[in-house]
Amino acid sequence: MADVAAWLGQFATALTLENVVLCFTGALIGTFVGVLPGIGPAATLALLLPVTFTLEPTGALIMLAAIYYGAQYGSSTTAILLNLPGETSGIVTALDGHRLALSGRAGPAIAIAAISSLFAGLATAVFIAVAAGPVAQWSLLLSPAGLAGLIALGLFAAAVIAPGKPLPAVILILLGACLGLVGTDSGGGQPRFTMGITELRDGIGFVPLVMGLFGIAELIRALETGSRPDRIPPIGWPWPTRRDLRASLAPTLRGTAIGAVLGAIPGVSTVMASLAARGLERGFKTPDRPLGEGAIAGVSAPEAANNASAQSALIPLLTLGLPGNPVIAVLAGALMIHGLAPGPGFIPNNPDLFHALIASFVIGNVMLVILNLPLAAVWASLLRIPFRKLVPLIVVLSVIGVHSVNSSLFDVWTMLAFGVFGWLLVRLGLQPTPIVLGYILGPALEEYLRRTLLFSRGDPTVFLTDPFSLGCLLLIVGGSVALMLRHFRQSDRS
Amino acid sequence: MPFPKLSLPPGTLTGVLLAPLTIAAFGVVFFVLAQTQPAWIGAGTAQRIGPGLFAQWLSLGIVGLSLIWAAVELAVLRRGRPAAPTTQADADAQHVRLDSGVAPGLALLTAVCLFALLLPVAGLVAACAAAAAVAGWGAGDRGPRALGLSALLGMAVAASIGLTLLPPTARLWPWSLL
Repeated sequence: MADVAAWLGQFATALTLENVVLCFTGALIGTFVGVLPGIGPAATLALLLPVTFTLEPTGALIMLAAIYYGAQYGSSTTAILLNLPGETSGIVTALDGHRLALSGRAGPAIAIAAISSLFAGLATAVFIAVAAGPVAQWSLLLSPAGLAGLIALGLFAAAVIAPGKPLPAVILILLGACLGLVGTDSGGGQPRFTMGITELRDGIGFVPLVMGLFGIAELIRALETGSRPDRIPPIGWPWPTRRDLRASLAPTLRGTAIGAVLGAIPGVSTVMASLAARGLERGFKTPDRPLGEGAIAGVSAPEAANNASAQSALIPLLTLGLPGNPVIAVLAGALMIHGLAPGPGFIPNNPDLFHALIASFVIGNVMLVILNLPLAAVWASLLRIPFRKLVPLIVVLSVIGVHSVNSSLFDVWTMLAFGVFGWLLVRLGLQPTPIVLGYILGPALEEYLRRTLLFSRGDPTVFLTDPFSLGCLLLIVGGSVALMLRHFRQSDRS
Repeated sequence: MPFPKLSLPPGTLTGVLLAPLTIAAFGVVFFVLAQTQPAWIGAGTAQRIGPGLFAQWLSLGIVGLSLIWAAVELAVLRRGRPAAPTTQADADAQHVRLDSGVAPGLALLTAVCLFALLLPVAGLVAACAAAAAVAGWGAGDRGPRALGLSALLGMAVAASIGLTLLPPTARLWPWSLL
C-alpha cells in the first residue's frame, strides 16, 4: 500500500505542464504511428531519441512510453475499420473488430477497444506500482552469478518466444552482444574490436545502430510490402450499448490479467498477449456472437491484453534490466543515454522517476481515449496519405537526428552500415530485434561474468553452485531440450 | 553410408545456406579480432580477466551455432520438406524475399550516403534536399514535379530544424563554407 501511496503522491510530479505536454505529444505520435502501417513504434522511438537529449530523463521516458502504448490504441482503429493494423498487435483485434465494422457497428467496436484499453492501462499501472517494488528489492539480493544467469535466461526466453526461429535469434543475440563489446574494455581500458578506428573507442553509438536497423531497414521493408486501402467505412455513433458493455466486462478483466502477467515475461510481445487473451476467450461462452463472427469479446480481450502487456513489459526492464522486446530495448537505450542504467537498483535509486512514469500511464491512457474515441474517423483518414510521401521526410529526419547527436558524420556512416546490415537481414528472412537485445545486454552479461569469475578466482563451477544461477541454467537447458524434441517430433510427423 | 542424391531446383541450396553462412562469416571476423586480445591478464593466476575472454566465447558461439543452423537446414532439405513459415513474421520475411526488387532499398541507402558525402561540401540544406529527392525516387515518386517537391520538403525541414537547433553543429548553406 505504501507503493500505491507513493505513486499517488507522484501525480503532482507527473502533472507538471511540461510532462503533461510531453505525455500528450507521445500519445499523439503513438496513435499516428499505430494508425499508419509501415512505421512501427520501435522505429519511431529510435527516430525521436535525439529529440529526448534536450529533455529531462523523466519527461523523455514519459513521452517515449506514451508513444509505445499509444501505438496500441491507434492500431485498433485501423484494424477495426480497415482490417489493416498499423501495429502487429492489431491483427488479433481485426479478426472480430472488422466483422463488427462490416456489419455497421464500427463505432461501438472502436469504443469498446478504447474502453478496454483504458481499463487495462489503469489496472496495469496499479499492478506495476505494487509489483515492481518487491521485485526490485529482491533483485538487489542476487549475486553476480545469479544476475549473469538471469540475463542469460532473459535473452534465451526472448529468443525462444519472439517471432521467427529460435536458433537464428540466439545467434543474432550473440552477434549483438559482440557489437556491444566494441569500444574500450571496461575492465582494463584496452580498445576492443575497434580496428584502429578512433571513433569506435567509445563504442558503436546506440542511436545510429537503432536508426539503421529499425529506421532505415524497416522503412525499406515497409516500402517493399506496403499497401493502402481505397475506401474507409463510416463509423457512426461511437457509444456502445449496455449489452455491449456487459459482454465486454469479463473478457476485459481476463485480457488485462493475462496481458499484465505475460507482458512481464521477457520476449512476450503485445501480439502474443493478444493471441493468448483471444485463445482464453475460446473457453468461455460469448453472449452476443460466436468468436470470429464479430463478438465483442474478440475486441475487448485482445485490446485489454495488448495494452496491459505493453505497460507491464517495463517491469523486467526497470527491475532486472531485461528489455523483452525491441521497443523496450529502445527505451532502455534512451535511459542509458540519459545516464540511467535500468536494472537492480534502478527503482530504489530513482523512485521519483519511477512513480512519475507510472502516474503518467494513467494520464496518458485517459488522453488516448479522448484522442481516439471522437477522432477515430480523422485517424483512419490519415491512411489516405500515400506512404511514399512520408518516406523523404522520415529519411531527412533520421539523418539530421543521427548527425545532431554528436555532430558526427561517422554516426551517419554507422547508421548507413547498419541500414545495409538490417536490409541484408530482412532479405535473409531474419528479424533485427535480437541484435538490439544482445547489444544492450551483452556488456552487462560480461560485467557480471567478469565479477563472478574474479570472486571465484577463475573457477566457472560457481555458476553451478549458486542456486539461482543453477536454476537459470537448468531452465535454459530444459528449454533447449524441449525445443529440440518438439522440432524432431514435427519432423517425424511430416 | 552414401547420401541419397538430391534433385533440387537451382538456387535452393544457396537460399537455404546463405543466411547461416553469412552470419557465421560475421562470427569468424569477430573471432579473428578477438584473438588479438588477451583472454586472461597474468595467465595462471586468473587475477584479471582480459578483454578477449568474453569476446572469444561469443564469437565461437556465433560460428558454432551458425554451423549447427546450417546443418539443421540441410537436414530439413534432405527430408524433402520445404521450410514452411511458422509465424506471420516468417511469412512476411519470405514475402519480402520473393516478391520485391532492390530499387527502393538501394535508393534509401543512397540517400543516406549522399547526405554524408554532401554535408561537408554543400551544407545541411542541400544535403537534405538531395537525400529527400533520392528517397522520394526510391519510394516511387519518380516524376520531375514529385522529385522537386521531395527536394523542397527536405530543404524546408533541414532549414527549419537547422535554424532552430543545429547552427553550431552543421553548416546550413554552401556559401557559408566560403
